[in-house]
Amino acid sequence: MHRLQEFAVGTIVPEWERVTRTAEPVDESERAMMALLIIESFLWLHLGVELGAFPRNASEDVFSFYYATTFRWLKSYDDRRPRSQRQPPFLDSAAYLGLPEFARALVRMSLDGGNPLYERPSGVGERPALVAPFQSLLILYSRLCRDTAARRFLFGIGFQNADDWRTQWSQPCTTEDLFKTFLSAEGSPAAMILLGYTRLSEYARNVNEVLKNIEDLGILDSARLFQFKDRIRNIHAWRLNLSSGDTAQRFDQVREQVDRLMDEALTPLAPEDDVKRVHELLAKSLELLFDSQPVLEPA
Amino acid sequence: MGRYYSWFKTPNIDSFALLSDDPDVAGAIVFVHGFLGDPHETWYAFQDLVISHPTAATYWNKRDLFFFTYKSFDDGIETSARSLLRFLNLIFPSPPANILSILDDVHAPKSLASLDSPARAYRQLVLVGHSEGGLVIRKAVVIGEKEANPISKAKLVLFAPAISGVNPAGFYGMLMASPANWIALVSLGRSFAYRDMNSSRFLTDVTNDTLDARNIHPEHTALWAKVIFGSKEDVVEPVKWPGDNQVAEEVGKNHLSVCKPKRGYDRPITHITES
Repeated sequence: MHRLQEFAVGTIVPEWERVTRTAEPVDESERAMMALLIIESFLWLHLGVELGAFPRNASEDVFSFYYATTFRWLKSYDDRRPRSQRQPPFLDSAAYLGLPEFARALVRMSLDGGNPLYERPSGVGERPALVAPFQSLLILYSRLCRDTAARRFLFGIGFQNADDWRTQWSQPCTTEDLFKTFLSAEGSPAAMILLGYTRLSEYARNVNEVLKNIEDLGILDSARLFQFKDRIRNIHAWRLNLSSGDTAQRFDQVREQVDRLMDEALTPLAPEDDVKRVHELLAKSLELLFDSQPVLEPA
Repeated sequence: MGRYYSWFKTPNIDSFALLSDDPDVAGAIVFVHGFLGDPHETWYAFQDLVISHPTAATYWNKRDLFFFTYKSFDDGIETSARSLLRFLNLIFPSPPANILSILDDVHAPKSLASLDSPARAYRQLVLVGHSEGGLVIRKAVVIGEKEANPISKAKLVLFAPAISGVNPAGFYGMLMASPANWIALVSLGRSFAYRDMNSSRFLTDVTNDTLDARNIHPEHTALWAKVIFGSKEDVVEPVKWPGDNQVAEEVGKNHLSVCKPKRGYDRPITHITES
């Protein structure tokens, strides 16, 4: 299958079906996350078109077929919501406003019925040599989208309402619970969140490695490399938006719990320095990918 | 030339293919990762580097790459070997239609169908294994001697294979080098794969079955392997089997880096093209 076909079938369609076939999702917070997941996949399509990894005509059809519908859903969903409700409409929400400026501009264009595929590019331009590493990133991303633990973590720290979070997070989770969840990808909400944290860290490490590889291969000059890395980081940034107080607090709770379980499990087995290295590895992977960077907009 | 990715459906849900768009594609290369590894982490450097390698036009463009995954912690080696054999039967000599084209039951714009990849018929098969993946391949080869399977005519390239036992201290160190795999460390004793890799009886059986089969079917190329260890190997025992292609160790490479090509180290690529 062409990479655009696989991207459409394997990554866009599952989210698109959740939106178009779910009559009325129970949880408004989950709806906000679904909207951001769709926007995120659109940003990958947008970048792939710019780099020449996705053919233009077929990508335009993909945009019209899937995204035009979902952006219409987003618009009507927003229009319908009374302002008096406890949570703000999606376009006024902190989650949406946390997206980088270029992404919000593209969403606005889409909501107005336009075709934003060629607007606000990263500045890297068409780069045949970058297609293979871009595809490697796409493979990682598509797997992340399927990862139920990573999704549960994302929902928990960024979208779940405070009462539900407190109730679920207060449930105990042992190393054994985490291990069982690790093997089966099923478990209590707390175990799934903890596993999701390690999975996101693993994803971040793999992405960082691909980005480092691009740098080592000298595919791009330093300005273009910066633009590329910046765009990749900005596509992901909403997943760990620590400028939101609630998210930062929950993220710290998860990190502390993982650290505690890790100490409990590894201290009897390995020297202190080795255990320290695992802690650092986990934290550093996320820091490298998600640290807020200044957004470099093309001239 | 381009290369496209396709995920497999259940039961091979985390396996994927990188398909060449060369009309003369003639072979399949199947990569098998190691203990708690995953196809991307272990092999991604191949994906990025084979396209620009000097052998791209003559070798890599003519081959599709398959990244097989399996339950490398829970399942014993024989179970994983049988799973690999089923996967090989699925893709060889022709891969399934659903990884080449969009099927009719998928909601997709019609224009996407114009991007479908043509059907292919492979004539050659290469199996590339790392660590536990090397042992899984060797077990699959001896099972394949008793059951019809394309594996017997395959060529084998094994990086740091766990075919002669593991070094527990190094094994612990390897698991601690991953953000998620440390979770399994405390429960290593519950892994059937780890049990088999540590069982001298199991390893001896696979070795003897291979050596016996060589006497009966010396024409079966899969009974011999090209085996490559790094000089800093400390996770598995770097011991080759008699009769295998005795390749010199890769100086300065360890258990993980020996199979990862990068700028200035393209030996993992040439080990395959010269197999």
